Amino acid sequence: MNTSLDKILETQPEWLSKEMKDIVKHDNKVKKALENQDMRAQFLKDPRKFLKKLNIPLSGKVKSLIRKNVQTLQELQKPHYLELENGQVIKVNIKVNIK
Amino acid sequence: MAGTQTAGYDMVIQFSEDFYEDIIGSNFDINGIVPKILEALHINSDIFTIAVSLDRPIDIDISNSVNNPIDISIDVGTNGSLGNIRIVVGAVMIRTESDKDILTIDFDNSLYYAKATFTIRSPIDISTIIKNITNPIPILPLPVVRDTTDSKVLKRADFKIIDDTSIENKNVLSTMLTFGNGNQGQFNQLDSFVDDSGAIGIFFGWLCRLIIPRLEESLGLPNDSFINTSMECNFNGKVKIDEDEDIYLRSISLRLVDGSIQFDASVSTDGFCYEARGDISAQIRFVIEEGRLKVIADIGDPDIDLDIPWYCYVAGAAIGALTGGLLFGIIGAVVGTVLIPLITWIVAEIVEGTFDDIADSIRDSLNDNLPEVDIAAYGIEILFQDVFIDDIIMKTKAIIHESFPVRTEGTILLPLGKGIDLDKGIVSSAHNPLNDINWEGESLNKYLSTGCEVAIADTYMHDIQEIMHFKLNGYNYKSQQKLHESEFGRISGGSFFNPFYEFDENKKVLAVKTNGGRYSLIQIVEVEENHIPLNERLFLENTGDWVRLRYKTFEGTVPTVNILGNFSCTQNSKNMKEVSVRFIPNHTLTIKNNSVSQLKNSGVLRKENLPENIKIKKIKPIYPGNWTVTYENNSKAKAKAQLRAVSSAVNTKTKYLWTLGTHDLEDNTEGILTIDAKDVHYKVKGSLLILTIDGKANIEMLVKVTLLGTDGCSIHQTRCIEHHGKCITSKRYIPTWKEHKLLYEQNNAVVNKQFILRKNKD
Repeated sequence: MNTSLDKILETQPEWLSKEMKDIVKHDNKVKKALENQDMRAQFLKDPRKFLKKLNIPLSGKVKSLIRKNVQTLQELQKPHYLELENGQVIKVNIKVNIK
Repeated sequence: MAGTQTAGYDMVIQFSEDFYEDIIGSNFDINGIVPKILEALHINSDIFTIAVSLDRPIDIDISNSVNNPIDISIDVGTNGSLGNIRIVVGAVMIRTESDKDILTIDFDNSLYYAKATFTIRSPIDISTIIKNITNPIPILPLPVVRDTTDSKVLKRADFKIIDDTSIENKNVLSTMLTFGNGNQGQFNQLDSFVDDSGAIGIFFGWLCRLIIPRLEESLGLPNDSFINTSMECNFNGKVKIDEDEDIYLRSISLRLVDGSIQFDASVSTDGFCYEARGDISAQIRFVIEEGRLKVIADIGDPDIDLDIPWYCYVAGAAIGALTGGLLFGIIGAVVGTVLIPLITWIVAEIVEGTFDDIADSIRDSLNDNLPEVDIAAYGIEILFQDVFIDDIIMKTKAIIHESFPVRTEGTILLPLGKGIDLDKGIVSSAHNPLNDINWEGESLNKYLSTGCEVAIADTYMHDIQEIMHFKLNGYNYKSQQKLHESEFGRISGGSFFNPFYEFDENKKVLAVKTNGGRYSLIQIVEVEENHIPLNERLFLENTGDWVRLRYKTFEGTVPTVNILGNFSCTQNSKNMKEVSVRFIPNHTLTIKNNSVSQLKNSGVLRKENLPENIKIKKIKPIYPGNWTVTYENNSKAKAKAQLRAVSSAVNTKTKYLWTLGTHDLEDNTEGILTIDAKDVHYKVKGSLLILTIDGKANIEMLVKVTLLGTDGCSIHQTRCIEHHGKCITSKRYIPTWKEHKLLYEQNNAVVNKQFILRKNKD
């Protein structure tokens, strides 16, 4: 897995790149919190609230960007449906594992 | 427990007594065995029935050391009124030829009992007569390569007569086959798995041995990447199977479970900030459609595990990357582009293609490897009827195609007031005394009548082609018969609400002793009522009334001889070259689309079962059709013709004289003749003439056979035997994964015109 943020952040505004890189500094703290099942569910549902609980600061702009996508983040784990040519619809179950 | 029915043998072919009765009866018939025995015993009768039993005889004294006895009983005269001939003979596997195991009924060395009991004299031992008259009958000649390590090549054949003492009495003669890299199974643990006439069992471990090399080669895996435990064949590892989408195959498993095969596959892919793994499973089932085995899969719901580092999740959420198509891209690539095509490839091409190969090799083994022995041949047609999985057992019906000469056959329209001479196939007025049967009467009193000196009997069968000539001796024939049309089906109509008459034919087959001294089979396949209501018929007579009659008349006591056989190329990988590989679309095929199940009975999810607001994406369909490879013979190929003289009148002293062109050929000789500047190798052995030529030769030659009787009489037949220098054969092609994907990626227009994968322009 290519986990370097650099590539995608290269195309983003400088302030956003900087803030994201700052967040990574809290790696140990976040991972420890994610061991807790409720916290992990909270993170998947809305990372803003999760980070706030851990006192990891986010700028208003970033919070606003995440807020716009919160609904679709929650959609992420819902099943997707594909129709085969024989009329069968298969349900693709998605399981997101945060590492 | 799953996987025990074949007792570890790779393939087990079991047929019931009926099958062997047909083979033995047919051989006795065409070789005139019973008339010869009766002649030797000075019994004057041409009425006899042959019955074969695989029960071990308990009423006669045979040694405990005798294995595999076949009990043949011949009743002579109507219902055995004159007497009975009883023969108990052993089946043996002859392994004297280096490249053949031949299951044989051995009258020479394994005749255990032969006695004639007739009302006119005391029972007598007729062993010497039987040995003198009856040659060994090769039942199943099977080509073997004794040191092969190729799982597709037969290494050894064994057999066993199973005298089933249960109440079902499922007696069978079982042939057990071991292929390259396989081991002989547990002889003593093998039981009968035949319900009706026959069945073929496939050991799952052998199926794995056949499938694994194909998968390894097709997926570019090194040998031995799969593990075969006989109950399961599986792969665990990492191999790229999609270059465009960077997708890796991580595991495949095919596992025998009760009633089906469980298929599981897993793939993975990764990219920026994610690693995805997709798992899918399917239940593979087998069905028989029109005599061919089809493999279908009930696909389960796939699972996708998506691993994402927490900071990527946050960043992705902030910039919309996770929602901007990433997930849909992964699902589309993993499920739509790889997993579903992977299932259809493995199910429809690899598994089903392997079964097609097996079915072809069974047919070839049974029919193309008839031994070069001087005995009348027969063809065996295998029809698959049903399949179930423990090991994989295919319920099978075998039809013996006998070679007894047929004089005339066809289907004719017989109007009311007409009859047919079955010896000549000529229709004329019902008043013609040479007619064998007539369609007569009027209105609702129509009937089939027998002609002068003609007798008729019900066979209680419904398929003309399944009734063998030797069976015709035993029916209860009656002359001067009038069979009302109601015996041929059920008439309906003629009422106020339904004034038009309809006829539902029962298609019974009747046996006829013609006034020309022959046996014939007839079947009324269609009865046409004139569709005129009864009250109006009084004025319109019988306009429009007719029957459509199928008939088949065998040659009889009037001696005739036919030459059977044609040139065909010897086919193996060394002498056939590939001409083309193409995909031929066939939109009438549904199963290819539905190498996933047709959902008839299943409770699987359908669009209409889901709420309207659920988004459903359609997966690109798999094209329906067949991959086909065409071969042509190269310069190394030989064309061979096994020509057999078959006659309705042979006895022990009959001599066959073969002539090739202008050259008379001596019996029991071989040599080379030049015809039309081409070398023709010949080998003569009684009623058999074997010709071998260069497969590329374009040649025609006159072959004549003359049968000389002891009374100085002779009959002959001449045939032009041709070979046109080419042997073109087509068979199913099993595409590699990349080829399957390549087809999948084509557009409709390309596929509809036939997708040519490769073509040899030489």
